[in-house]
Amino acid sequence: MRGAGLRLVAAIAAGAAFVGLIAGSSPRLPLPLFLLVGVLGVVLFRSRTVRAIEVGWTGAPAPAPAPVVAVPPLPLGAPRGGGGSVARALARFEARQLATGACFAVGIGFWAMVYLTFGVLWVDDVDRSWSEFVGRLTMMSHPFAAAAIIAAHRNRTRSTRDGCDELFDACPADADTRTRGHLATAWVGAVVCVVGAVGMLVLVAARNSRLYGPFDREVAAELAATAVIGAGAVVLGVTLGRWARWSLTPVLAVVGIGVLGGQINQIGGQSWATDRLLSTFVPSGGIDALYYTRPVWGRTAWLLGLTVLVGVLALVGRRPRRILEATAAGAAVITIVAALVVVRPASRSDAASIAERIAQPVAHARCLPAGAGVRVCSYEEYAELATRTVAAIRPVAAAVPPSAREGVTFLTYFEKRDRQLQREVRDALAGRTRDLPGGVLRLRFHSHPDNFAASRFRLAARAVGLPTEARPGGEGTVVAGQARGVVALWLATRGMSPADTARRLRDADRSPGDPRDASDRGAIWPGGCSDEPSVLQWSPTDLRAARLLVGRPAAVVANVIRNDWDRFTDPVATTDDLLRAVGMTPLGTPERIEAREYSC
Amino acid sequence: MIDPTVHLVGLRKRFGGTIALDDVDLEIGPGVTGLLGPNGAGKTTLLRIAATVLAPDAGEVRLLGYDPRVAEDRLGIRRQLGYMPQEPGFHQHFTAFEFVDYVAILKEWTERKARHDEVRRVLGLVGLDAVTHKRIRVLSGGMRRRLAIAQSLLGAPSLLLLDEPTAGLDPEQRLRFRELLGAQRAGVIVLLSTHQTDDVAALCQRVIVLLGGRVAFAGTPAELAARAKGRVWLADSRDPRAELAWVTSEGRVRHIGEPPASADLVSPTVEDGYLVLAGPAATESAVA
Repeated sequence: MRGAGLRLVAAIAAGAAFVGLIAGSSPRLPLPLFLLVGVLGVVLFRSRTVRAIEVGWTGAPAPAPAPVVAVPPLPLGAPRGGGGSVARALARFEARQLATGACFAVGIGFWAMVYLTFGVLWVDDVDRSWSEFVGRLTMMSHPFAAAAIIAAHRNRTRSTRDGCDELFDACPADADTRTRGHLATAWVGAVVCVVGAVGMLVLVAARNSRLYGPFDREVAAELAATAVIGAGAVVLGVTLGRWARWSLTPVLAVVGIGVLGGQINQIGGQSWATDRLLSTFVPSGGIDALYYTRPVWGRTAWLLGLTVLVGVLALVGRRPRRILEATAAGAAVITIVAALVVVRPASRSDAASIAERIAQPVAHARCLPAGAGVRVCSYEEYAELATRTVAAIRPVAAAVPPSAREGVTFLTYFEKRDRQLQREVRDALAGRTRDLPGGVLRLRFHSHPDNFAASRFRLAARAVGLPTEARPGGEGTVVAGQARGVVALWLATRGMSPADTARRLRDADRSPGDPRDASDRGAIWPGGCSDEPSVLQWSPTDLRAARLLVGRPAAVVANVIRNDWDRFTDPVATTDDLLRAVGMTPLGTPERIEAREYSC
Repeated sequence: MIDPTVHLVGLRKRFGGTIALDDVDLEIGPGVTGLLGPNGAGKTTLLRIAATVLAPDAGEVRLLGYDPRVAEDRLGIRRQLGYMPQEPGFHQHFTAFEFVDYVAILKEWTERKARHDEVRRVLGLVGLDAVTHKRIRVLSGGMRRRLAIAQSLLGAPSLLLLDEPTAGLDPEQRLRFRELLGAQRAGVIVLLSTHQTDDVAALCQRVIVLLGGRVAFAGTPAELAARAKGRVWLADSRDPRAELAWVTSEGRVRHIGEPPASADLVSPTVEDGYLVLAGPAATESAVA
């Protein structure tokens, strides 16, 4: 039975590598994964022939009589521990060294930068569902993980660097025991990552109340994956330190992981492929999490299996082999099974469920009234998004004459390209018609303040008969000099705070050196930075007119607009006509505006 | 009962084209044994083999009754071993206490309180009580040497191997070191490599002289000194026929070899015996 475990691992790995080579071009069976597993297996297999660490002392024993005593008495009654207790004692010591090291401090600093970036400076840009955000926690832990790899490597190679190897080699605790002590510090990386991730969640929750959606079991899986990444980084650093002591080795490993992860993340091209979950960092699928499957627990198991395998590599050559072999075999099985779980196609039922959600968005939506004739519908999972949108647009709806708001529906629906979907979902959608009610207004998945402002603008544009989406090419519709454009601006700012109103209608004068022309300055449709092209384009003169209108008593302006609604929503009516009707001085001919595509 | 010997038979070790040890046969028992020899004579190689950190190319090694080629025996040796390498490295950012504490863990002292007590004990033995919590990087060279000695004393080992332990120590510390070794419990084998013949004279019950990787002498310090009996003279001027000659602090010239004119015969020392044995090759290290 001796070596059976390793032979099993090698056989499985070799089989996996073979399958990978045969089918490596398929996105379902990524070549890098199988090659990686194959290499691990070969290394483990070859380890059976690796000489003991203490090279030279492995010759045949001399034909001398046995020692006088097998186990000498302890000096001074010293409490001597076995290999396990020595490794634990070393782990406590090394954990302190690891956690107080400069590289580790840099890693903590990286976490602080992540906090500063996503939790403070640009916290508003964290504007999707909790599910989306939680899915990025593992990626956020990567800067720390990179530093932890280097820190653990430096910790493991410290004795060599400082010339202590000879002294330490003469001690009872051998190199393997020392390595086990270092490996046992992996918990430090795990704890830092979990604390960092939980802290990030708390910080974002405290500073951004607009995230929505369920905070479900995926959170536990993602936190577990984050912990494994932290632990895995330490384990990888130790393993590299055991076998590759060159100081640049961990840096090369970090770069290699980045390159390999980047390659894996491109599997599937524009389509979402769960194979990407084999990467340690996973980008967004480019579509909302409701539209693709993500076997997050499988991914966590995959990362865990890899971590254990890498840890086993650090102890190759250790005796007795039985535990190591059993651990390697178990980890290899977990790794391969988890990888297969991750890369398997979406189940028929999952694909059908997603396809149904895409084809019948209304059937899966929960709708809330936002004033007579206006309702906001979002997927049931995202009810909070609808609630917050209702709060944002209710004043706008109230200001619109009843005849102009009848039957207006905001709706979340699949707004991306079908080719971004998983193949199984595309197959399930094939031939199905999309049951999208005519005239619905797009309710986007973003929760940035700009997105709610865009919903205001969209409702106001619909009310005055203007387009609510950009043209197919992305260009906006020019409404410069048209009264209805200014009416839309006035409506969109109903109920808005004065500061927000001023910001939304801002048209900074051109200063010397400012390259923005009138067309640029009139493109104020909100949300350019969250994938919302400018739907309408005003002129700076229109914006000035809107600011003047906002400055007049709302009741006066409302009366004028409502009483002459048909006239002021007619493209023929000019901005000056509207100003005159309100009793204000006309501003003259507006600037010439070109239709352009705008984005952040 | 441990077999209290270091037993080396036919020991050979070669580094590339250089022969470090050549057919060395030694039997070393309890007590302090000094290892003398010029640079490159094989002293450090011998100590490294005895410390189980280096394997010989040929020959039989038996330490405390154990065969270091057997992993379990090697562990048994290391559990009874205190070793101070010639150039012990230090983790400079550790404190003195932390460093010895770390070595204590590697020596399987896993119970925290007992270990810390032992660390404090050995630091006290070498007079480093006052600097236990200072970083090693701020310690002087002599203090670091004492720190290296301290770690070797952890657990009162049965086999203590010290490679040039007194190099860099001031006279007071050298005296203290001699006291320390003198106070080792009975049955302990101490093997120390040194260039200080006065240390050998003061400390060692036995002395071994290695020359060119071979054992040139093994006996007591008095026997080594006796090798120069009748061959050490003091004269007022240097005689060109002398095998070795150097000016003493009194201004006279000490000769080894045939008597110069009007010279006084003097009692030989261990150093004289060593110099007679080693000849001019020894002067670089020994006389200096």
